[in-house]
Amino acid sequence: MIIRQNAGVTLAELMIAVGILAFVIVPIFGLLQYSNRGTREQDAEGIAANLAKEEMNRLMYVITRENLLLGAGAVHEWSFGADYDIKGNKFSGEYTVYPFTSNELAFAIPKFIFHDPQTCSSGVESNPGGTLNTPDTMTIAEVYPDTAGECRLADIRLVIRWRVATGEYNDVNQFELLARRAFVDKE
Amino acid sequence: MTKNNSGSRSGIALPLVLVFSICVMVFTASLVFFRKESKQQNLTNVHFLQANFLAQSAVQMMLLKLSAFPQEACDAGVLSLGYCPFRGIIAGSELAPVAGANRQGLIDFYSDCNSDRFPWKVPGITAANWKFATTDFKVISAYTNPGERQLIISSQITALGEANLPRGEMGVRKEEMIKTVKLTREN
Repeated sequence: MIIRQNAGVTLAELMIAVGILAFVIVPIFGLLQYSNRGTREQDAEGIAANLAKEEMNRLMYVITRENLLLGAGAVHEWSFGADYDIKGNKFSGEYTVYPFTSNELAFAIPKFIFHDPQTCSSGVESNPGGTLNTPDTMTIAEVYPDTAGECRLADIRLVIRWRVATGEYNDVNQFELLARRAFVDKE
Repeated sequence: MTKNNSGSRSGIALPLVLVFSICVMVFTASLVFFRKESKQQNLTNVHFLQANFLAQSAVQMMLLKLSAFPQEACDAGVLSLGYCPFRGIIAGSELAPVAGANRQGLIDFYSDCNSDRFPWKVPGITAANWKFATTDFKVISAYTNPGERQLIISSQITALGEANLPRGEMGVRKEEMIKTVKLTREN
């Protein structure tokens, strides 16, 4: 003889369970979607940082002085081109170069009053306390009078923007890098 | 007589749903947490880039100054050790500073290679957020090449970049960079 006990899951219990599930799952799906979108944006930001580093290294150490200074003061597109695509994300960048003139670059240079080298026997400076005079100032134009018109120092501003496939460029998804490049004559 | 065990499943739906819901909530919370971590990592990366390029800018300014004033740099370097710049230094000899050695010449030489003395040409930026400076310059080795009548000095530039990234309230990030350069003084 089989005795059945059907006291397991009642309809009311089932309804409460489904209610709780719906109450919990719906906002969680929203959070998951938010998290997923955020992950895509973070991924894009990481790529943007790497591209910015590449581009700034190019501007600092690779591109020639003539090419860098071409159209100085105007905004130039970066070397990757507009809307550079990586994994469906778009990246754009632009840089501006602001040159210094050689006359603006007035450096302080220490002035020395060394002892008479004819009397030097020990190799030790015998007048260390009184060796220095007030530092002088000299411009790069004075150091290189023949090429005083050449630019030897320039500021570079690089701005990077990015957007995910479904987004638009905005003021939040961007950052800038600043650097100063010297043009040193190789001898 | 057979009795099935359906009676033991009484009220199981609710606990099951609650356990499942808690698991999903924990999973979602961890996703959100890791997303925040990833965002912080990206901001840190960008911040590092900004400070690092500022430090490189200080090195660039110092390289320009060294190329324009190599003799003054050598004299200041030798004087910082207390030696006479006109006397030979035997290769491999210990370069311990002699008593009364004067570093002021070196300090005078490097202390104007910074963004305060030569402000940015880039318009519209907050200068306090983009600072760089050469913080030290020291001789690490020196010797005289008698055949070429040259004093050859290896020296180290220490540069500091300070970037203040308002985005993400990251505060000030400082990056130090050390570059070794070789200087030659014709005697």
